[in-house]
Amino acid sequence: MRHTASWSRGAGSIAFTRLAIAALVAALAGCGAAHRSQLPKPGPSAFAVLRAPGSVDDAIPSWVAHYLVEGDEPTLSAEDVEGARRVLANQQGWLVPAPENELCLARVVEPLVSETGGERLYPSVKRSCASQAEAEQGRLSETQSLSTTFAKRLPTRVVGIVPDGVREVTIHWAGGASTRVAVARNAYEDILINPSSVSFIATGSGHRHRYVVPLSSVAGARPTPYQAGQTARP
Amino acid sequence: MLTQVLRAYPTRQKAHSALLAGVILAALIFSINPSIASASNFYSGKNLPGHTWTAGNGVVLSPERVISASANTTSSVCVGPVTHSGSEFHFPYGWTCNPHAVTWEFAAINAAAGLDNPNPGTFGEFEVFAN
Repeated sequence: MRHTASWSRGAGSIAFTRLAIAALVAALAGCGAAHRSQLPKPGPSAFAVLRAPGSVDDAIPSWVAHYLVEGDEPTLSAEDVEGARRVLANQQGWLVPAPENELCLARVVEPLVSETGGERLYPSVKRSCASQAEAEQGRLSETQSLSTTFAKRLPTRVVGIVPDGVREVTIHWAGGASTRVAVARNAYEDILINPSSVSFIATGSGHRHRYVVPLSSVAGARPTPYQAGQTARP
Repeated sequence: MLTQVLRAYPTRQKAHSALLAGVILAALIFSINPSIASASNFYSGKNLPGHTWTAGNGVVLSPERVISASANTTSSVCVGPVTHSGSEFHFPYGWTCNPHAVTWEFAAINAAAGLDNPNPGTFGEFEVFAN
């Protein structure tokens, strides 16, 4: 009887172990699939470049794809990366469909200097994402300061995504001046000094709407870092 | 010693099971995402005035591969890797500004994760993660 009880405990223990392992494996292996299956199906894209068939020119280099797939939220899949379309002509930049009906603008950012502290620098991958609705309002835009130090006047690379039907955007300066930049493949790009905003007119549901998106840069920032009022957790 | 403790434990089989499950869980997690084994840095704060920047606790990651940042703002947030030489700071890739959360990935660079507030007003709250 004691023997049976012991065997029963042992069998129970083995069963417990198997159950625990099975649950862990199932939970870990299935979490990605479950996440994917719960995602809403993307609606028709307002970006013609994403609806167009892909070509060799759209392919994302494997080292960039590695960063995108291994990167942080939103986690992109190989399928997402395959759906990417190149949108920038003067640099490597792609519009990438992302989970939960988001879109990402992925860009290769070259270092401004070849090395720092004896350390060679390599191209980096910058990714910014927004919901499809935000992207349709021009909120999938970004700037990059092209200087290794702060200055009051900074050359700034401006890139952004706009919906179908927008053929040009207007980039404004704080003083009231502006310049027009052509749109190609749902994207615009330029290098300007201290731009302050971008505007464009889009037509949706038969109505024309003017969107204005602020463009920020680090021009005029203080040369030394601000130290107070922070909490750190190394 | 551990074996003796386990033998003395009335439900040692369950302890073995839990230990085994823990080892398997750790192995699975590290196989899925090995980067969590590398060094990382997180800092957050409040009240970063407009047109100022910070590198938080100043931790330089060697190497740093990812910076992601977000701030409580309706406008933009800027991030960039920061290197330090003598009394000067350098931004070898410049800064990038975006209305939303920013993620920037690098091939190994020894740098600190910088956050800039490009707005005229103060950031109420901000968070920066680097790995």
